[in-house]
Amino acid sequence: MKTISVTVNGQKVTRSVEPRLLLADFLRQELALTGTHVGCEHGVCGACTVIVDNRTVRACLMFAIQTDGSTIETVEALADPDGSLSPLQLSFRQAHALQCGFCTPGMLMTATEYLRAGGSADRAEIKHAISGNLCRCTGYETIVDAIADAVRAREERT
Amino acid sequence: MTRHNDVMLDPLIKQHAPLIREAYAHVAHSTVRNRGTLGGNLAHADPASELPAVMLALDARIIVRNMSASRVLSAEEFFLGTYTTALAADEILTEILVSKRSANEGSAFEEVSLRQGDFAISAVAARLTLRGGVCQHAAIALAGVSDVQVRAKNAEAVLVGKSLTESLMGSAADAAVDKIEFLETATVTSRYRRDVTRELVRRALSRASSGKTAS
Repeated sequence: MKTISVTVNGQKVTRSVEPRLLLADFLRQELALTGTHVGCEHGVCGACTVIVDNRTVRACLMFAIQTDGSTIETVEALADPDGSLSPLQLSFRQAHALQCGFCTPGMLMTATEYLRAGGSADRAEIKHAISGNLCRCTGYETIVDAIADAVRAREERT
Repeated sequence: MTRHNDVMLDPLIKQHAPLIREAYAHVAHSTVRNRGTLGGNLAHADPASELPAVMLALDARIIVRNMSASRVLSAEEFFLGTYTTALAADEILTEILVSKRSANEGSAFEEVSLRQGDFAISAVAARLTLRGGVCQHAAIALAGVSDVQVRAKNAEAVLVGKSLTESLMGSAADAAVDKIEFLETATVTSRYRRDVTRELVRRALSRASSGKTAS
């Protein structure tokens, strides 16, 4: 066992973990943050995407101990504490960018990185950005719509 | 070791080794490139991976070391087969040396895969140096075609010393696929891989010779 200290969604957390514990399992089982979904468990589907030190990572391809000292953001960090949705989440809801919702946490975190990097509303660029996230329900078009809407909403705000 | 995205987005790489940047557009997705490293990718040596072929085409030198000594290997010496390199059990890869692109050099990377970011069914990395329309140097490397990345040396031999024409590039593409035993898998026949590879070599040469390197 090894002790790690991380900041998860703004809260400092110290835990003793097995070196082999995956970040995805650490978040879900140790911290009860079950918004991070585990799909393929080998880096293909993107459902477990979270943000570590401002970069998206596959939580299934990283050990929890590798995040020692890092800042982690999961999908739970997007909405306000009172439950009101973030602009990106609102866009997803309005554009019907989800059906079963399994891929949604990963899509949202990938889109969060895209928005922070100043990504454009260009559909081809958005498709490229989410090419590492699989969705079996929507056919992707509404997800692209939602992210493009979020980009435009951000541009209107600034 | 350096993360894929850091290499991909580095301005020095863009300026001096644009082939690396172009190939990276086909390597997985941004999230995977945030964590994966170039050195790790080369040491893993997946025969359908893009960067090993790029390193072959760039005549990269690869530095490996153990606790007491280091060795410099050419990319050709380094890649031995599927997931197999010249790394000894006590060695790690520590450095990759790539020459700057020369003034008359063009390069191109072409790939066909099932999905964006997936491993290559076939991929071609090409580098051409031209003077007055005559090919001075050619380097063509293939990924995804067999159990290891290969240099298409007979295709390079077709080009060097000749005036570069569409028909010569076609002959080089034919020569590139001539001696290879193409991989046959459940979803992709060897015949298809061969046909696709020939066309990708032709396109890569055409683009490398016209200097239209994708950004």
